[in-house]
Amino acid sequence: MPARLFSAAVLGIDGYLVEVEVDISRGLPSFDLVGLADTAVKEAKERVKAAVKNSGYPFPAHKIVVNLAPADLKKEGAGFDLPIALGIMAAENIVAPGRLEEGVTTGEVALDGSIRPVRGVLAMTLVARKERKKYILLPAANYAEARVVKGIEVVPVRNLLQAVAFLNSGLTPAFPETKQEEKSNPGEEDYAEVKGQETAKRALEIAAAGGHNLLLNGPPGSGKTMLARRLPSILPPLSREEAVEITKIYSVAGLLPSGASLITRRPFRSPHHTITRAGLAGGGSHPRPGEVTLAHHGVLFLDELTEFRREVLEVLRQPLEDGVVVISRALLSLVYPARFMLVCSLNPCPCGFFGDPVHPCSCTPRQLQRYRARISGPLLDRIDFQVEAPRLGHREILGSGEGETSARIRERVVKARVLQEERFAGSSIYCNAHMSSRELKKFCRLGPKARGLLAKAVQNYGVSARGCDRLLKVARTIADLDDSEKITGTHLAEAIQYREIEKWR
Amino acid sequence: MGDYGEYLARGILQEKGYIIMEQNFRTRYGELDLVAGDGETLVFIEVKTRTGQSFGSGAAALTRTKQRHMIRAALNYLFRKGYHDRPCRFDLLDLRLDKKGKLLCYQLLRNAFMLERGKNC
Repeated sequence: MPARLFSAAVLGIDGYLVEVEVDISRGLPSFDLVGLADTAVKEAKERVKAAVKNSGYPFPAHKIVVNLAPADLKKEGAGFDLPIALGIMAAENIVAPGRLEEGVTTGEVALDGSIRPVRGVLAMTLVARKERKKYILLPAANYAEARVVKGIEVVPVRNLLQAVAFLNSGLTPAFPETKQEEKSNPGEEDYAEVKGQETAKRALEIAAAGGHNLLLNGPPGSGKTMLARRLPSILPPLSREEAVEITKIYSVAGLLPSGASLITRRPFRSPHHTITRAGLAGGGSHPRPGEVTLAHHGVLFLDELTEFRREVLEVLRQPLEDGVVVISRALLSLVYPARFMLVCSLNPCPCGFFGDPVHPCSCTPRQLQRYRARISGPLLDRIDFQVEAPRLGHREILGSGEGETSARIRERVVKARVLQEERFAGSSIYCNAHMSSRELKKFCRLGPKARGLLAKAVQNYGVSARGCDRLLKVARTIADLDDSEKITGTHLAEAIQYREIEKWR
Repeated sequence: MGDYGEYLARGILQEKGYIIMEQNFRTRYGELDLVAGDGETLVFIEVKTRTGQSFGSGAAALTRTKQRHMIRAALNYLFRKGYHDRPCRFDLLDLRLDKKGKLLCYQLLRNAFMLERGKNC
């Protein structure tokens, strides 16, 4: 009788159950592993052999066949070590088969029999609960992460012996209760530290309130990067579902620090401009989430937008439209979530001083033209608004006046978000930036005065149809911040002033 | 010298409870030095005999190619004798002799190797 137990693997960011069957028969001694296993899984043979032996159990000198089902999906990683070891011991009657099939097991074994952490444990725990398994047996280092899931027994083990003890007699290893994560992050950066730049701060507040994409334009040293870095500090706090989703992504990507449980801060990702397409969108032969997915529910900041290679930026189009990235490979196609706020920064020209009141710009018109042509039009079209972060005057640089704190700005942002949630209740969107044309028509009615203003803007600035939609969305958010049901002329006028890049084209 | 080693080996193994069934079983694929029964298990034994200050142990001399030959010979043995459902094992007996042929020490390596597809079979 073959021994049967369950493990789990990850596809995209979701887990699926893998059945591990172990058959031991007489004949020339051999150890075969079938079921589309990759190198790391194949190497499990050697680790398992040593671990079983070093835990004080005999390793059977028989013909051993291990099968991983479903057989058509490529299995990767070392998480099958522990289930294979336990399966062999069950087939040898060292482990009682009774509880084996009721749960899910994962973990990498070391040669001495201790258990090492694996990636993607949260996703595995979620699928184990979904499949109504009673427990999940996992490495102690992954305990905090899996404990987030309620409704399933989480059994952390440090070594093979503890796993055997649990299966044979239900002994759960004693484990120190982990501390609850602290609520406030003392090292968090705050907008109070940024001098001046009131226009830019206001724009960031609007962007945070409506989930809009934003472009910061300004000379070097004006604080663009500083401003963008502090954006997570004014974004609304994460809901539990969002936190679970982000933690799942980071767990699959192997970026979760050891012993960490839920991620409570919104991610802020600022990839370097040498990033590749696969690095940004995700992919590779064993697909991994890219930066757009790691920025899910957070901020993707592209510093010096013009330095990024064009074909890399083009991959942003799909996630910006759909909130997901689809990775298609010959064998499989994966969907990674990627709903993020895009914040870009750039200099107005190659030397950086175009339009600066003090520093003369040394660029030729031709250089300027080439520089501006480097930004992808379609990408720019998806950025709701732009704002200038000009050079600071001496009063602002030397002044000691502190700005408004992030906490106060966040209060207003949260208020505006609540309004939006009420507005979009029952639909799949939750903030103004994601409105489609139907919702725009419904929620962005203009008064006669505002309508006249919009007509003038279209006429004088050459605002495109899509640009017009974006204006309305931003105006809607400004009105929400003002707690106003209607979009008035003032709101629209403020929105119009944030479209300066329109002049570039 | 090999024959003398196998003669010594028989004695050592019998002392350990092995029942010797064949000596120098030849097939067209290779030779099995000794075939013995250890309880229920059928054991194929490779005997390595060394004299004096030789370099390396006998275990290191069991190359992939040698393993492959032993595996093929063992399969042939099982087929010819009609054994289909018996647990089997490969052991290595490493003998160290002095110049006069006196046994200095020996090492019995139980289950010295397994079948590994693409490596030795």
